[in-house]
Amino acid sequence: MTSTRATGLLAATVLFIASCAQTGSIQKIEPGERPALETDEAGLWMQMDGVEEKLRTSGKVVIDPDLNAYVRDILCRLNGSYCADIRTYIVRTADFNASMAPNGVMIVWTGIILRTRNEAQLASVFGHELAHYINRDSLKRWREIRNTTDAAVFFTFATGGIAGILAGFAAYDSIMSFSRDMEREADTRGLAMMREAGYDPRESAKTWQQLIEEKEASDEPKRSAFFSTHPEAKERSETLAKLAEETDNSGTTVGRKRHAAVTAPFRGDWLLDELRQRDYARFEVLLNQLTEAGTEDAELLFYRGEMYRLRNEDEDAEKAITAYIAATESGDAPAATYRSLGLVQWSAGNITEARAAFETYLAAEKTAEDRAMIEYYLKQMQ
Amino acid sequence: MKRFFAILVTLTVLGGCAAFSLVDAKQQTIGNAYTIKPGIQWSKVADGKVEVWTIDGPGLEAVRFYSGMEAGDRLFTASKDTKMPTYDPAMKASDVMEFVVGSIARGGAGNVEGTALQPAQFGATSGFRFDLSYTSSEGLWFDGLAIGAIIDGKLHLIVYAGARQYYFPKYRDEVERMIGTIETT
Repeated sequence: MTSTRATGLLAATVLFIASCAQTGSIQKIEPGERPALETDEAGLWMQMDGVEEKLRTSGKVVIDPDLNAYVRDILCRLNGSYCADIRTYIVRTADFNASMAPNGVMIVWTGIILRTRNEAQLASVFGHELAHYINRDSLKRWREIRNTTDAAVFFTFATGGIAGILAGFAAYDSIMSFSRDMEREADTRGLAMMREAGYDPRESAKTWQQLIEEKEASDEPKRSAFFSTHPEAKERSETLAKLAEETDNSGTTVGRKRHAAVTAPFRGDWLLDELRQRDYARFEVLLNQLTEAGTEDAELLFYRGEMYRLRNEDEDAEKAITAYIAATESGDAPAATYRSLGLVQWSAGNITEARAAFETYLAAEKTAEDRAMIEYYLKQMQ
Repeated sequence: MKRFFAILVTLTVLGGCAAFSLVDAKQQTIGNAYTIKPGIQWSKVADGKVEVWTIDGPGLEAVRFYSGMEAGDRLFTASKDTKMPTYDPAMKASDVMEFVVGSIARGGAGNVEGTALQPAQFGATSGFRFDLSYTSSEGLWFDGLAIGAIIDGKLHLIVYAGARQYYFPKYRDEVERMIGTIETT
C-alpha cells in the first residue's frame, strides 16, 4: 500500500469514527462481546486491528512458545472469562511498559518481564491492563478527546500506526493516557483480580517502588515510556500498598520459582537491551534490585562488569575487572566474561592477565565466531 | 528504531534539499582518506564525515562510508536528548563493533547483533570486519556488514545494511567487490 493510499484510508476512517461518536454512559465490556459495526467503538477496534495485523509478523515479537504460554497462563489465571478476548504480544524492547488496546491486544515489553521479580508482580501489571479493557477505558478516553479536541489530534494517533507499529501503539498510549480516576479504578480492579487468583497483592506496590527507584537514578527520566503516561507513581504505590494491607493475604503466593525458570533463558539478552540504552545509573539500580531479589549470579556479575567497561569512567576499569573475576569465581560465567576481561585488562596495560583471559575464552568457546580476531589480539600482544 | 529511521528520513529529506548526486562507476575518494571503485552507479548524499550511498533508497539499503572519525564522534545523532556512543581512538576492533551495534540499538533498533568479528584488510591496512543484524520499528529484519580500520587514531568505516528480504542480498556482491578495491590514501 502506498503512503498516500494509506493516509487516505486513515483519513476516511477518522471521519467515519468522528461521525459515529456516541454519547452516554459506558458499561463494562462482557466476555466475548464485540462492538456493533455502526459505533465509534467499532472504529477504534478497526484502527487497532490494522496495527495488530502488522504486529503479527513483526521481528520484534518474541515467539518463544514457553514464554508466551507463561504470559497467557498468568493472564487467564487472573480472569478466565476474558482470556479468549485478549491477544498477548511480547515485544523485545528495553524499558518498562505494557499496554492494552481497545480490541484486546495486550503488548508486553520484555523490559517489564525482566524487571518483575516474581509472577505476582507480573500479574499486577496484567491485572491493571485487563481492568482497562474490561472498563472500556479506551472508549471513554476517545469520547473525552472527541469532546475536547478536534479530529486532527486523533489523526496524529491514527497515522502513528503507519509510521511504525510500536510507534503507533506509543502514540496511542500518549494520546489515550487515562485519567487518574481510570488508573485508580484499574489499580483497584487489578488488585482484586490478583487476590482472587491467589497472588499476593502486596507485590503490586513493590513493582511501583522498584520503578520509582530506577526513575530517580535515571540520567534520562523523561525517556521512560511508562512514566510519560503514568505520572502519579508515588501516590499510586502508596495507595496500592494500603489497599493490599486491607485484606487477608494469607494463602497468597508470589510465584518466584516459575518466574525465574521461565525467564532465565532470556535474561542475558534483555539485560543487554537495557545496557545498550546507556542509562548507566538506572541500569546499576536495576542490577542492584535483581541482585537483592536473589543472588548476584555469574550472569549479573558479567553485566555489572559490562556496565563498567562500557561506561569507562574514573575507576571503572578496576571495577569491571573485579566484577568479571567475581563472575568467573562464582561459576557458570558466560564465556564472553573472559573475552571482556581480556579487553579491559589489555586496555589497562595488564598484558599477562589479558593473554590469560583471552586464552581461557578460546579454550571455553571452542567454536567462537571471533576466534580469528582474538588470536590476532594475542599476536599483537607478543 | 523510530529515531533510527528518523535519521534515514532526515538523510532522505536532506537528499531532497541538497540533492542526491550520482556516483559513477569509477574510482571515488571518500573524505580524502581512502578510495573505492564502484562497479555500478549509485546515488549519494554526504553529511560531514559520512557519505550515504543507495540505489533503492536508504530505508531499504544503503552503504555508509565514514572517514576520519575522531575522539567523541558519533556514528549518527538520534535526537538531541539521546546519549549516543562515541568513538574513542583507544578502541580495539571489539570495541568498534560494540560502538556500531550500540549506536544502532540506541537509535531504536531491536535485536541488534554484531557477529563474526574477524581481521580483514582495509586496503593495505590491517583492519577488521563483522556482520550485523537487527529489526526495524516495523519489525522488518535487516542484515548488514561492516569493515573498518583505525589509522593514526582515526576510524574509517564502511557499513552496508539492507532489508534481509531481497535488498541486502541484492547488492551484497557489489559491496564486497567494492570493498576489495579500497585503497587508503
